[in-house]
Amino acid sequence: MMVDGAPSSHVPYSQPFHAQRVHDLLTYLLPHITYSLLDGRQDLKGAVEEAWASMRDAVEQYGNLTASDYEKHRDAALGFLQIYAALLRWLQRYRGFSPDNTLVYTERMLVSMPQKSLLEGYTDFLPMVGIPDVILVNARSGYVALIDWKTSLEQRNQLHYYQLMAYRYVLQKVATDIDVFLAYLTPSGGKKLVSLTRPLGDISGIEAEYRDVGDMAEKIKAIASLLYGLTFCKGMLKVAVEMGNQYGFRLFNPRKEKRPCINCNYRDVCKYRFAKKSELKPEEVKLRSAFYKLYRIVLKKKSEEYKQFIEFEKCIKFDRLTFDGPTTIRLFASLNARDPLSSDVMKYSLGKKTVYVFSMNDRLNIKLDNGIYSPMLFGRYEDDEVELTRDMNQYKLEAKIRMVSPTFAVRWLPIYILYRLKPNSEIFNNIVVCPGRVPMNIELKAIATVENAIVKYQQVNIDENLKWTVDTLRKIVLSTIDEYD
Amino acid sequence: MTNFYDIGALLNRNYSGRGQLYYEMLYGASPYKQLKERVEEILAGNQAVVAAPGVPGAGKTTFYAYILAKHLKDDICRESISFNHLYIYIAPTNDLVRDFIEKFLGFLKGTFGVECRPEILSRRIRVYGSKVSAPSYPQLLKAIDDEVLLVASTDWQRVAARILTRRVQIYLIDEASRMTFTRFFISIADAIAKGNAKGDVRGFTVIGDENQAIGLDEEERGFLLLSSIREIAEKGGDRVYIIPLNVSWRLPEDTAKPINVGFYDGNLIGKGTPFKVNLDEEVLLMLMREKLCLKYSKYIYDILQVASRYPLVHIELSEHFRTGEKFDEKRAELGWCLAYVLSNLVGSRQVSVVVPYTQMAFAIRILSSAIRMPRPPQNVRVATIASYLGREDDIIISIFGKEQVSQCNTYYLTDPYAFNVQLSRQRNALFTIGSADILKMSAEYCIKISERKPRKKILSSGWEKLARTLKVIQTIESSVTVDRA
Repeated sequence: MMVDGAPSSHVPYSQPFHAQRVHDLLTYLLPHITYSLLDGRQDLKGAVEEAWASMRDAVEQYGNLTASDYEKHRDAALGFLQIYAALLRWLQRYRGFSPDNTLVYTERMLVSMPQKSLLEGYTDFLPMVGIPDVILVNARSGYVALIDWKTSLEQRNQLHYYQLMAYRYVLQKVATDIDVFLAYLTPSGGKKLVSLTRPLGDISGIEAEYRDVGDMAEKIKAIASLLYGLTFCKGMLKVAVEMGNQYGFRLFNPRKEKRPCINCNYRDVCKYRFAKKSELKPEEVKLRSAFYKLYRIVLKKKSEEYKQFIEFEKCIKFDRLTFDGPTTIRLFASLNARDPLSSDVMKYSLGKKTVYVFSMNDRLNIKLDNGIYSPMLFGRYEDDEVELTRDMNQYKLEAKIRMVSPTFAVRWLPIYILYRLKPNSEIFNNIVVCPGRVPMNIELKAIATVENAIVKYQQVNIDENLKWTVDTLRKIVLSTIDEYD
Repeated sequence: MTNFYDIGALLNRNYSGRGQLYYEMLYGASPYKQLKERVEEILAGNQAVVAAPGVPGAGKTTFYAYILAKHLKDDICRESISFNHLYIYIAPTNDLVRDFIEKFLGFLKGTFGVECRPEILSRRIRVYGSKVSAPSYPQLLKAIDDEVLLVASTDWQRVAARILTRRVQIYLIDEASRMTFTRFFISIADAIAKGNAKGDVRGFTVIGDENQAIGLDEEERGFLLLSSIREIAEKGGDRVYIIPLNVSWRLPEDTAKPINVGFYDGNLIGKGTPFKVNLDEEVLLMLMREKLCLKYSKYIYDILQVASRYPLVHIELSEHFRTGEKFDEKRAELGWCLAYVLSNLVGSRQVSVVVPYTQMAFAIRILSSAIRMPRPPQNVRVATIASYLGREDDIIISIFGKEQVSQCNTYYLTDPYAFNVQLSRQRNALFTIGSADILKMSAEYCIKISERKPRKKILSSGWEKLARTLKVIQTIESSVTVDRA
């Protein structure tokens, strides 16, 4: 189950293109900006220019933003950073954050696996992959501040609150003191910081408010199950209504042209998804049925994979991690092996594998077998790059991990920048690398995007070339699906 | 240390090469003549699809590099210009992409004598791949603007995501046996064949070899671009051309005999240069002092005796691969010692050890880096069959994997075409190590079983090809037997 990016989750398919760009820009800027501000820098504009200058080449080469994207979205990023700066001042004053003890993680993946007890079956069923925009950790005290950027105001922002409380719920298994914040920058330039866990009291330079959402912590588990069900099961609507009554939230019929659905960005897709068969054109019925089938196939396949999302029994250990460049890390291990072909060495033979990199000095990964983990990086390990040398009575082993695709630059570059700023940080020691699988949301998201595109472009006038592309996509889906019978 | 994948460094190099006349004669004769004419039509912007099933070593990369260098030589160095057409070379590995750029620049500067500053070239060319870097010319890795003319990438997705403005796109695809990601092109080929293609992709050409398609299941085989285009061509359509290439410029005739009989029905014409080892007994004696190799010295001497007379040597082992493991210590040691000795006897020639399993490759590589020796090999590479697709080397040592039958589910029996890849990488000489007797018996056993319980056609036909290949290996006179003792 994904809170982020699932076909029926909170991200509207029509999310403005620029919102993603602003998010990405903030992701790249934040490590540099955070330490500048903690060092007492007042001139935010100057700090942003400096941060961009220091990473521009890396972002343009390996990331997804260009210099003109930066020019275009700098002001929006600056708006968010003003809110962030105010919060950071508060954290400095009341939570003891300083340049030496602060770790900033952007776009950090949080994974929660189902927890099973022998007596009761699943004691806690909230399998989730979530990616909060910012996690700030006080490495000394263990306090965690979680922040999400929001470019639009939803109906009373309920979905945002649920999303953040889900992250908090998961994080509570590794940290005891967690505050969550929403930073709003509206299209008209309005700025607001919303705290969901405590009143902030004295916070200067920004409009701030506290929302007591304590009851959402329990509700989020039911909502997660609902989203899951509504995405993949046709007959879930009735169950959803009953669950809503029980937990105190309402469901609305998207086919009725009433509020709140008339204001919803999902409306077109939602109507199509929940329409009666007779309300759709034959082509749409076929398409919908094909996509449901696709979701079921992928879900079945991915559910199996999810059980072994990460192969913890095959993890290998390293003493230290360094960066060779923005997209390559080098890992070092000292081994007390008898001979070069002993099992202590041979276990580093993983072949060419997708791997997850954890730091055991990272507060978010106290231990890996408690069902909650948060990899520092996700990349490609190729054991033909492993080097083994003899040094006195020890073998020294070196390996590399590389970023696989520009899609992951938003994860890699902030860690690279963090490394450049804090190369001696403890989080770059005591490293564990585990083989795993690509997160399931990539395939699901791809299918959902195709479906949304087909549905959306059926309703608007588009040029011939785009029409041809959409038609081709539709044909591929409809012809491929038959092969799975 | 020089970075092999630094594309920027290639821009700065001086190139010399054979003159244009040589290549015009080479590509003006059969079987390339027809292919060259058709590809030139596509490059000129005509809608067409060309598929060339080629034997291993048919010179795909060189052909693509030449034809593109010839087509772009007048435009690529012109200042301040924007282009309507974009030429895109796609290959499945970083090595092939790098190799293509090196060859392209070689033709451009060496053969056609184009004087071009690296700064200009870096604005005209883009190169994408997980290992590719360009510290001195970062422009090479950035997004594709109007000034770019040529793109080389490990996959189509990397390119599609980075085209900033609409351009007519012409693809040259090196399928190098497997690239399921290119299935997108099947619909395009279909549309071009029917004369109703309206997208940006004007035409494309693909060269590959179905007999080297490995690591695919039956369903994935159905999406092989080459096979799909063959099917489209069979249905008719005057814009789709199939042009077979049966000359291997890589493989010496004698070394290609087993796969020629087994996989190519005797149609492969080997034009590579055979190499026989010059046996310097004094050097050999010195090399054999290496502790690990001492126990294999008798066999290595016998092997080299035969290798001084033949370019193909088979080392028949009386024992099958270690049961239950994907790593066999004795084979790893024998393979490594042979590579070590050969690398010191063959001058500047490169030696590669090709094995089926990653653990086996890892073990040989680790021996190579962990053992201190008087004359460490500088020119030995170790790789798995899967990672060696599309690659070649002067001297190949092919170590077999599990030969014994285990319900027909060992590596060679589930993927018999892998054996063809393993035996077709050599430019000059080939050494095979393993039990041809046991593997042939296993293949025959599986064929027999499939007569009672029919298997998928592609698999049973693969077993027949495997058995035929092994029969040739069993009967060659350049064979040495290593017994259990």
